[in-house]
Amino acid sequence: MADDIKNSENIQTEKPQKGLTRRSFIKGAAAAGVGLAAISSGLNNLAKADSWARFHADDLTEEELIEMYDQMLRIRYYEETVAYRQSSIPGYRGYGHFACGQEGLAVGASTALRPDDWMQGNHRSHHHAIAKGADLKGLAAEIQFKADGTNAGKGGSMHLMERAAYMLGEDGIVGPGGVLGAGAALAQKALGNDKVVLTYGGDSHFYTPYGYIAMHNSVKYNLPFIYLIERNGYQIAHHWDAQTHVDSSTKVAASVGMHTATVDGQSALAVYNATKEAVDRAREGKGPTLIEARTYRYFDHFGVGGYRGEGPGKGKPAAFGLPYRPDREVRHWLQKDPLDIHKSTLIEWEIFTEEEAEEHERKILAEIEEAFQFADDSPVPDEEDALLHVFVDERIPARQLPETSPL
Amino acid sequence: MTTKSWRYAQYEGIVQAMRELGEDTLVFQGGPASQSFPNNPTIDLREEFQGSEGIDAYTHIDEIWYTGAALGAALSGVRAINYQSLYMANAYMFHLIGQHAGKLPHMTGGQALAPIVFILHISGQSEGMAGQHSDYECDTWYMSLPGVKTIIPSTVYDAKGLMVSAVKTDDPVVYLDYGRFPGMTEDIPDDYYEVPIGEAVVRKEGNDLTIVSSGGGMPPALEAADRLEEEGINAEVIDLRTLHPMDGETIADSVEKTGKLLTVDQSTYCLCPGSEVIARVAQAVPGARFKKLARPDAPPSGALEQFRWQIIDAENVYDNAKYILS
Repeated sequence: MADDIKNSENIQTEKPQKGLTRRSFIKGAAAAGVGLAAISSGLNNLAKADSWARFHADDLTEEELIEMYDQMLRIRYYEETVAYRQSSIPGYRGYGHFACGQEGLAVGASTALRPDDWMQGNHRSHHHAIAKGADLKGLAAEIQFKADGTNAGKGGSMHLMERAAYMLGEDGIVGPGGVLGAGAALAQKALGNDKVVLTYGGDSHFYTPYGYIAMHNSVKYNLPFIYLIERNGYQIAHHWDAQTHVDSSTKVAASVGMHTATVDGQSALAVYNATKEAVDRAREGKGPTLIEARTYRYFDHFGVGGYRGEGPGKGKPAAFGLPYRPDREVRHWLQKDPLDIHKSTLIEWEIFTEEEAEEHERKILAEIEEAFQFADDSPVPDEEDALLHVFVDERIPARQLPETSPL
Repeated sequence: MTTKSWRYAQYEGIVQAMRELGEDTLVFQGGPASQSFPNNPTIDLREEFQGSEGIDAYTHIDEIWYTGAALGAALSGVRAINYQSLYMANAYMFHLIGQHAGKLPHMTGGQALAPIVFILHISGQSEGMAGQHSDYECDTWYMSLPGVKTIIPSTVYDAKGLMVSAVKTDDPVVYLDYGRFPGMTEDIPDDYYEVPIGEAVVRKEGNDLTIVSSGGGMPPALEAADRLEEEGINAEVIDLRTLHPMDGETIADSVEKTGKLLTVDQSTYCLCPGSEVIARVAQAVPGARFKKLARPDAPPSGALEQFRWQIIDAENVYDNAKYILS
């Protein structure tokens, strides 16, 4: 697939990096494929200054850069735990729409957001929720439909959600997230605050009526809205080329005057750069941006078909032998693993050593094990609590039981 | 008579109806174009009809396109069959079916016709999928629409026979395809036959109580009736098969006889099909007793315990039958 980003190693930066020689920085960045965010300004050709995203990641502290790696590890290990359990424990309560391969994208984007900026995700929700800072224990319990889950056990894989992390609610239907996110952005603007809203969409988001209306009206009302298309190449089993003749979602966005960017989704820093620019624009009242991030999901659309992994931290997790995609394509993308890229960048930048990185890996793995221990210990929900959360502060009547009032 | 699967029987119905009609039919196929089942010939819509009566339009998932394009084709005189294999996006189609397919014939004084079968998969009992992916209440949505016929088979025989009738009628038909039935097999005729739209069927005769159900409610209704029979209670079990237009007479005749009516639905309580059944019978049969059994008015929960408790099982039917008999 033609998902390689052209010029991905063509990083230009005027000032030397902190603690690094310019030479070593460029070498590291080249190895990592960092930096590129080719921004096209759509119909607004006057905005030539925005043609390339600046290297905003230069302003991230070493702690922030390391935290990005930790977050990517949390997502990877969380998903590997669920995938391994689903593939090896008969009757396991959890299942997943896994986002392995897309971790850097969510972490890069979330790093560019403020904690109180809103986010709207979709059915592939694990990386969105973790990257946005939702509680790991609650997320582990939720994916096993336990009472202590973030959604009280009612949602699971497709709907992981924590409002305290400023999530609007992960939605399981493809499309509406666009208008929901733009609507939330309209509300922020009406309230007069400086929050922005980011909606994640998959391959087929942008050509739904909802996607189009979100793009059109967010420009019309000049909303602080960021539409981040995670282009992993497939709608379930349909390759991008089988879905649409439009070679990029940015073209549709540009046609309604939306600011656009195309970015290497495997580079957390590249996604950060593009999102940071979009966030800054939105906060300054310059309107919405659509970012198309090219990425890949290592797993099948859903579940663990073709996966024979051995658990978290033991090799790269991926599904092979799926009828709709070549294994070599999977291997090709495994070579552009977002965790590898970020880790090697930080090592090249002398922010941590290989050994220190491995310490982080052990630490995060322990954190994930603790979260899933919490999930295992959490009780299953009371069956009659299905009647809660239908309406606010109200328990609706059961209807299956003969003694229930007919009224 | 040959043993056939649910899905094979549906395809056989489509093919036999298309042969019978012998006219151009557009098939929007959200799944494979062929079906096979042991001891039966392979059905391949593409092979039999491509370039002649039919066009295969296997595409990516795009519900609004499927629905709108099928309607557009139908308005131009090309009959359409629209197989929608994914259940959760039904609502995308609701607007086009309700506001357009159901109303254009009337608004145009009978000129613009919409001969389309919308085969909508309803998951209903997919565990652990949470609110949007385990819905059943679309039986209520669609049966409420004027100008749209809504059918819901519960046997392999009816899956084929109702399909034939649906393809052949010149009205828009919503064919609700309940997610747990495709695993079912049954001995059914190989030859062409029709099951008429608008006729309920008595699945089990009895004098003590009438149980009316449809689709996913039928298996627990029949299981409970067997259990009641072991206790000497003879329930008459009626399968609606068509939700709209509803066969009120078959039901009223039964309740005249038994004096007691229990409705069983996998839909949610408010305005489930049983609501309509009871409303009709209450007007027609004075002095009868009624009980409506349906899911609570809550979205299906992701948690298995909650979900299994929410759906209607044979024990719920049995308990409610005993209640109305007491």
